[in-house]
Amino acid sequence: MPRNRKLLVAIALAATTLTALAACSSSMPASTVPPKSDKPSGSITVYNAQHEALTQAWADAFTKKTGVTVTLRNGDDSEFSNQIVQEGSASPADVFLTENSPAMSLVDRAGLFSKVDGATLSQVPSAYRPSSGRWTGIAARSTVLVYNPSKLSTAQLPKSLLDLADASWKGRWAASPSGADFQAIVSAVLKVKGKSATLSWLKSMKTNSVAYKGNSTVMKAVNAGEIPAGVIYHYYWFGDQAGTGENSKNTKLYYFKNQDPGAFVSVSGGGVLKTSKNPVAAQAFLAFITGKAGQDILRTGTSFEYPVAKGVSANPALPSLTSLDAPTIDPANLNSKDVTDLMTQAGLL
Amino acid sequence: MAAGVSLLGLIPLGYVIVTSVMTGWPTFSALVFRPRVGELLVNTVLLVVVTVPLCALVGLVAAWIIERTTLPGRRAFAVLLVAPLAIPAFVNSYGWVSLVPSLNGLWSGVLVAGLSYFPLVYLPCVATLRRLDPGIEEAAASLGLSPARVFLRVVLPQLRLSLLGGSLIIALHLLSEYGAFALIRFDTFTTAIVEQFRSTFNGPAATALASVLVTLCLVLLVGETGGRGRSRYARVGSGSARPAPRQRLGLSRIAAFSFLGAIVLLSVIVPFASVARWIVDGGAAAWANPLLPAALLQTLGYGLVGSVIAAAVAFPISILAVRYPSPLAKGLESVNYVTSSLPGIVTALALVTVSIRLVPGIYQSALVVVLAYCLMFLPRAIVTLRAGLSQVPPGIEEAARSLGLRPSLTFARVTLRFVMPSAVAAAALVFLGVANELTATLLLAPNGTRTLATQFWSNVNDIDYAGAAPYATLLIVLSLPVTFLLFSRSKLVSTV
Amino acid sequence: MSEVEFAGVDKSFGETKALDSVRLVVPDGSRTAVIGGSGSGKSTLLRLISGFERPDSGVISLGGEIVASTKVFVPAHRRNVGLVSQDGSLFPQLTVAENIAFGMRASGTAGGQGSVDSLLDMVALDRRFAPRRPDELSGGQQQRVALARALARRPRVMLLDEPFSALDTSLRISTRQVVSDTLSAAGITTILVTHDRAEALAFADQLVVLHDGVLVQTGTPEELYRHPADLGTAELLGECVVVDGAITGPAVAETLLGRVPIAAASGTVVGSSMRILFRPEQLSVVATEAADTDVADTDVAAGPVAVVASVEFLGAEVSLVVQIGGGAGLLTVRHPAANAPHRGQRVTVRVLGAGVVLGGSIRGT
Repeated sequence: MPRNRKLLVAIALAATTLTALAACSSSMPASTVPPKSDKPSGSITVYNAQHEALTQAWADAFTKKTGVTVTLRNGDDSEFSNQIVQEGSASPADVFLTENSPAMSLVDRAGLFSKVDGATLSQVPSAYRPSSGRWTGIAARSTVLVYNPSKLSTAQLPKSLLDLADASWKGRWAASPSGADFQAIVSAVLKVKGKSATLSWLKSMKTNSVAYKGNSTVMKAVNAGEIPAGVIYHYYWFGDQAGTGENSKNTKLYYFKNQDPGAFVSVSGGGVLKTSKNPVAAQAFLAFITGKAGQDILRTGTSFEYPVAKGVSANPALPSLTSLDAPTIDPANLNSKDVTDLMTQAGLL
Repeated sequence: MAAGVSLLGLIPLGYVIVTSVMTGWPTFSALVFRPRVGELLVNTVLLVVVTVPLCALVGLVAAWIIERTTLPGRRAFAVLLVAPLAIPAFVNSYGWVSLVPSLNGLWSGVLVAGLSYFPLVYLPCVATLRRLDPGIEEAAASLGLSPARVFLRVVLPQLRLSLLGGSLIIALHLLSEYGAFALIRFDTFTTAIVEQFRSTFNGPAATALASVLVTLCLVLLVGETGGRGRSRYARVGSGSARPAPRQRLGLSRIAAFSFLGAIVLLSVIVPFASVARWIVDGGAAAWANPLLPAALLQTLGYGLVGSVIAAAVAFPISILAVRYPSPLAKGLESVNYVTSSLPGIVTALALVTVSIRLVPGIYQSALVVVLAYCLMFLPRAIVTLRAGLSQVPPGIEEAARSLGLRPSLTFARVTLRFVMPSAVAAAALVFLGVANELTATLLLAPNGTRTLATQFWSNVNDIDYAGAAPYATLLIVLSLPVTFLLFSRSKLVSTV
Repeated sequence: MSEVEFAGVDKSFGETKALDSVRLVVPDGSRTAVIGGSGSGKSTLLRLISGFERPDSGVISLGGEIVASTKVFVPAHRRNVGLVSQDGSLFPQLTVAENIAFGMRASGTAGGQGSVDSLLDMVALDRRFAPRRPDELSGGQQQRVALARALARRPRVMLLDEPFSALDTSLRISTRQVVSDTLSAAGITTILVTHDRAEALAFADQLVVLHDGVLVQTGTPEELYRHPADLGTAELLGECVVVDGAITGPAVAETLLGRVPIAAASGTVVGSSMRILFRPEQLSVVATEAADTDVADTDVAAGPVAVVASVEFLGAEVSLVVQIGGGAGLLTVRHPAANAPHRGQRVTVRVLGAGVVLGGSIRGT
């Protein structure tokens, strides 16, 4: 009977499927709830938009110190911020780390962050954290123009980031518009110059700039002489210089300074989610990375990002943060949604 | 069960339609009718329009040289020309970018994608050329057609299904490929959707782009069905198939040899040499990476679970299609077919949204990943299994039944024996797909998941090409046996 | 003038000799059947004529023009040789009309619906079939389309490669009739390759027997049937009854069947002992009146007396095995079923016409 046969097959299949999936699911990491105690234990899940190597170093050091297991999910700032908002109460994340602050603001505005422990906040100067206290800066990076001196003389360098809208720059500068890094820079432009000026700047950028995927790729292209200049963050250059220099040896950095939007210093953020099932360990992790031990990893490691905690100096290879003359912008006021909308409107996304 | 899987198969298409409608016309139209979408449309359409005919031409010419000439070394070439299938397109692109860092734009996209995908036409053309009845070509010659015109008027029409089928698969690959084009800065709908996802998660702009991409896919599917027409290309009559005579190449032997040599150089040697170069550059340190064995294990795990489940699910669907053909069975098959034609990014977006909003219990679980793999790769398994099932002589099952075996036992002891090689091949094909899958895995995988493909991509994104090389090597090593299984089966089934 | 001529043609495939110094002349307008077992080289012969194979040595000419030699080779598409193969080899992607019109353009023959229709008429196929695809036709219809397609170009030679062997018996006869009539009407030189003796005998004016690549005998069907060169040829063309005989005179031999007339091949030596071939229809049996009838066992006029050893019913006829002289002499004889003798009955065996003294080697088919 064909009916019998199908039934048998169906049963066999269902059994196989369930067994296999059970096997998969059981190996799936999840936050575990520790017994009520002030001492961090169990495990946490971190939505990590920071460089994987940096967060992995933080996580390893934290695990070594506390025994808390840290599972990373790696992705991008705005991807995660939107994802967390959609996940709402079902979010498996305990901690969210970004490279730039707009994504933090998005989650904050949705009311999904817990208050950061007071002791943690006190480790970070108020310039590098929002007044709300629901997230904190964990590191900082500066906007730079990387350029190839054989293609661009010092005299030809732009005074302001906004000068790149000029027709003379057509096809002569690069960026990675799809990345959260550049979008944070745009959010600074938006904050400083307003909506319509930003939109027209973005439209001329659409005409003038060449889009690469990722800051490293931009730098690599400038180094190879494919394009004279690119807008990136400083630490890609220092990281490469500290290594083989393969992708930066033919380039130099130019800092806009003068509180130009192009001198924007972006604050990387960290926060604990309200829905965290292990808030004790999550808060402890945030306290750890903004503390002496965590910030020292920024100074001594290969990330070349600026530490933000009081009393921790930057990697000696870097110019001091104060010398960069960045525009003063409250990181809480940067808006990622408006930026992606404007960039979509300009045809960059 | 089969119906259940096929209902799940409606999720991606349903998601695109429902979210597009829910977005509301003003927002939706503003997101669709804008210059950026126009640009992407031009890029994507040009990519398909240029690459597909080139691949078809290269695949066809290569197949003809291999099957119909006495070119020395053709056996080695026959194998080498399939080897690009073992190199994921994004690894090929990585190989090319390492060699020529300035590669970008349409023509680079055509180059890299063409070199990755031409075997998808080559393989079915070889299979068909081998099966064609040489008597028909002789009849045409006796009717006064020169060899060239015999090829054009008789051989080519008989290759039409292979060419069309292979071209469709290539076009669908072109629409869904992300990594290969992202590396050479060539924007297609898929790369743009991934970028939108990076910026907005599953925002309306991503869905709007997805809806245009889905429309392109459907246009291709309908076009291919129309192109097939109603004609049959099976052999007519019962003459015994003898091998077709091979052309002796005179001086053109050099041209043929150079042509195949150049194809192999560009499609196999360049990526292999690049990977080898980075392996040397990275040295032992790159292999000491503790993430490497973890990624390998996870890839194997997902590959095995995904392929076993897909093959198992394919069984009832294939049995229905072969033994009990009905409009329902046909419908089930078409749903699976259309779904698998959609780019992985669309399926992934749909499953992320559906699982997060409707079934939070399975959100970010391995189940969703495996479901995505099934939706994407099920038709490969079905086509392969169907071919196997239709080769089981019905008389054998009847003989077993008449010898007193119950139907269930007949299936287990007789049918399954015959179908097992096809089932293994089906599972292997799904495994190949899973191992090289990037976008859906990135979006859907449980926290902490690392596969060879995602780790490769993470390294490439940090322009750590040397660090990416071990992952590339492992991906190729995993894919090689499956590719050659595919090659050796190409006489029986011509599908990828 | 001869339309097809082979002069000393050799062809080998690797170690296998497919044709060995074949000489053959096919007269203009004739219908030649080439008969031989599988592997006899008959298909190779056709492929050499059509231009799908090159001879290793020798010369092939068509209508006086050399088309293949060690120096010349005219490719298939320039020979204007029609070909109908075993399964028709219709183009599966084209309709019947398109198949028929296929060669017209290439040869510059006027095409168009009119000529397709008249070709369909010529092969006795309804015009309604014109828009159909080959897979919608029966085997016999496919063969007729293949013939019409080949005829459309008015070939100087038509080659038929076992074109009826895939058809079932009744269809085979009717299709053969249509093909035969059509080709006669068109007056086209035709070469038919077959392993079916009835087909070869019925179709041909000239019969060619091939064995192991060697052309054994050429002649009219009747000549070859009556005077086969050897036992192999004899068996290829019909059933045989072979008896040993002592040649006692220029046209007489002494055999089991008594003294029989023979058509001796030249060189037959009186006094020698030879094998003598009869066709079953040359032998008949008549029931003797009674067991005690006083008839000598070897009466030349009446023939020898025998006992029916077995009777096999075949429908219209029976096949009798009779035993002559109580010894080992067993013969197979046909007899109308209507008045068949029964087993054990005594019969007289009669011989019609002359036996053939077999020369050449002894071999089976």
